[in-house]
Amino acid sequence: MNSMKLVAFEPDEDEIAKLLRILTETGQRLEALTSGEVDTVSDLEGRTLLLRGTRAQLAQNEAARQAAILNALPAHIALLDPEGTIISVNDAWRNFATENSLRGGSGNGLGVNYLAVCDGATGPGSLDAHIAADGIRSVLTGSNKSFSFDYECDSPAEERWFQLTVTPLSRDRPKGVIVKHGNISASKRYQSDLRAIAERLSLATQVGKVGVWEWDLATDVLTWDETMYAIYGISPTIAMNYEKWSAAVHPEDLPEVNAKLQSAINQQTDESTEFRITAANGAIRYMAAAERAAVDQSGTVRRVVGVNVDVTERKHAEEELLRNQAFMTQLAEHDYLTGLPNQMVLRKRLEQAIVAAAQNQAKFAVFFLNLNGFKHINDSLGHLIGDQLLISIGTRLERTKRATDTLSRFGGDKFIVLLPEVLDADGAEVEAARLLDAIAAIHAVGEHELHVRACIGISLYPDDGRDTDTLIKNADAAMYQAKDRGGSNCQLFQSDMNVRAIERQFIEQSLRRAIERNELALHYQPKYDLKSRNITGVEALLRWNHAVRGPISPAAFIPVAEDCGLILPIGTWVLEEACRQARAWLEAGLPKINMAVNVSVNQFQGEHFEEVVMAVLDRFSIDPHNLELEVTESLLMKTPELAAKVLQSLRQKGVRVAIDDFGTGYSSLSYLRRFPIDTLKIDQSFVRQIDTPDGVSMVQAIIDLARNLGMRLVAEGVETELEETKLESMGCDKAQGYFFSRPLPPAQLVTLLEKRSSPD
Amino acid sequence: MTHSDTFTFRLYVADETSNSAQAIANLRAICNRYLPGRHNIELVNVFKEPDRAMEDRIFMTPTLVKLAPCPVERIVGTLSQTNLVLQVLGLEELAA
Repeated sequence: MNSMKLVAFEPDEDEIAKLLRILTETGQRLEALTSGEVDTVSDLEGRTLLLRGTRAQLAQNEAARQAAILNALPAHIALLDPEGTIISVNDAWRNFATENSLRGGSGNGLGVNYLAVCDGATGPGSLDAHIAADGIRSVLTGSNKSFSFDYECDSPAEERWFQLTVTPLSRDRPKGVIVKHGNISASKRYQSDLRAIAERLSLATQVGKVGVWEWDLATDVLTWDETMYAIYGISPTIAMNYEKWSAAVHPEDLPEVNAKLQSAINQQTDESTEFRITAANGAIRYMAAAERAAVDQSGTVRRVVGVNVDVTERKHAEEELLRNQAFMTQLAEHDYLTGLPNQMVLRKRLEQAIVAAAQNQAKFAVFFLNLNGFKHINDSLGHLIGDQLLISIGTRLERTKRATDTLSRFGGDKFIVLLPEVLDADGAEVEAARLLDAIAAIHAVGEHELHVRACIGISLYPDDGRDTDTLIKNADAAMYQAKDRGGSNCQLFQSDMNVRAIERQFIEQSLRRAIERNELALHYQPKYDLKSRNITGVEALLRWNHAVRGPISPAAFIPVAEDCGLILPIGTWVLEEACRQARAWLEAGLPKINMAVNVSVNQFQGEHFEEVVMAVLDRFSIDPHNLELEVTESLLMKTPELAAKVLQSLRQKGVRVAIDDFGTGYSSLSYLRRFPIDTLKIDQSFVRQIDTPDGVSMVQAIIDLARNLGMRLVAEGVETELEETKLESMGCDKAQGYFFSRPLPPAQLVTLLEKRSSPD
Repeated sequence: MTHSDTFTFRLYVADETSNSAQAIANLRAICNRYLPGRHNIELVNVFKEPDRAMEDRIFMTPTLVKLAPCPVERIVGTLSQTNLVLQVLGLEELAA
């Protein structure tokens, strides 16, 4: 050990040179001279010489390091010699080989011929082993530079994938190969998961018509998926960029779309928007879009990614819905026929008017308008004409009313007008007259020139009501009052009308159930021959015994029945009941008598009146000669042509016709010639006056007229002996009235009939 | 020379060769034990900086040069004989 010399050594050029020469020439001795403590020696030119011991040491270090690296690798690595014999393995291989006999049998597999092992494999996985053997051979022989393939090798616990890689040990000439089995299960699973996700995403975007796009800001390359191209109708071969895309966006929508895009980039917010595009085929399509900026690690926005969803169908459905809603609103607020505001709108405006008038302590008017005889027009000309007339009236009223007035159809032939600017009753009547005049002018409907009149009932706020319902109800009541007066007129509400309106409603409701509840009955008033004092016939008179109210006068309920149409079923019931009774009396052995039944105007205008009459007669086997239909003078005058026709036809079949209440109307007597009338009934008002000279001459005139026309006469309402005597002396054939008998229920009448009766 | 002087060393080595590595380890151990807080060590790899080795006339590795305090001293070897090294560095009084 001589290191002190070295430590003390001071450089001297010559000495150093000498020493170095010696050292390098006697390399082996240098190690000894330096006690092995020196690694390198340099010559004067700086060429460094690595000492042998150090070299060996370094080589050993390197080998150990490489072995450590190899052993640290998870892959199974083996070195094969040119024959395929395993000459070296790493730890992973060694461990695997210990656990699995396949790759090298027992131990670490060193010395085993790997090719032979693979060639000899049988059972599951043997095909992979054969492929591996072929691959290794191809690299060993140099026909392949390297070889790699993936194979599945499941353990009982999991699916495992391996990748076999074969690389030559030397580039020049095959001196052997390195065989590496890497476990790639994780990456295989990842790839498989990724593929599944991509497939699901693709399916979802296709099914949902979701187009996916990605825009690179630096290059302006716009990458579209297939769905995007399909939505826009552009060939997938066309490379997209911002300009090409924005050309398809509807110009009106582009500014907002751009703003959203800018916001996504600048604020890095998620944006969504809806816009229209013009597809390549020219069709407008609706897009729902969402986009997000993609940033790199430095936070700089590099790309924008987004989706377009084709929502055209949904948009169309929404628009359809909106249109329907508008239509529904129109329907909900307007009368379908005339297009006028309906009740709902009217009530709303009425409520507004009430609030305004209450604040200003002002008045306003409500008109209830109803056409006269509209039902007749409907029945005779048909509903189509009736509807057109209603439209014509609506139009005319709309033109005539003031701008601030609200005109509304209240169903049927009823209209309501709200007049906020009418200040008092006089003003209301002036306005009502204007509207009535407008209606009264000729309406040209199809080929018809129709003349129709109306009545208006008026209620005033606050005098006739302070709420919507009361104002309408009272105007309605006033309208009925106007109607009763006849013609075309208007009527202001008066407080007692309310009672009548309520009564009327009660009667109508009760009457609807009267037949089925058996509340209706017929009483019969006998008609006497003034000479023989025999009963020649009876007049059937309708009685209504209300379950709660008791008897209700025909004068009270017949007009209501006529108004609401109930007169038709009731009239038929009367006819049937009368004939049934007549038959019953005949069956009981009583002599034949005439049965007189009153007929209302509505019945008469019904389509099948004649058929109904004949069917009832037939059903009860009643001789038509024994049925007398009593019609009022006003009935004849309302529809003279129709009346003449129907009566003529009935009379030809034997049915008799009597004119009831003759003299109360204003028809001319000569006019009666046109009708086939058998009997004239002298109204009781004339009979009452028979004790006065005027009365006598009037009754005498009627009697003479009837005789000249070949009609029989019946005096009505005879109550005294004087009346009876005078009538007989004046040549009147028959009479009825309290003097003889009040109308009686059938049972009581029978006793009278049994005493004295004979048909005329 | 006082105990407050800072020692400046330059150690010439050849990569990771065994003697060089040993010299580095020994120098560090000596400095940490005897010169705590008052030493600077610069390593020069002669393979990487052959020109510097030439300039400094270093012909063998490992070679330790003490640059300060004066005088400049050189030691070739693994520095495994601590007492010898301390003597050369002028720290005889610290030697065992």
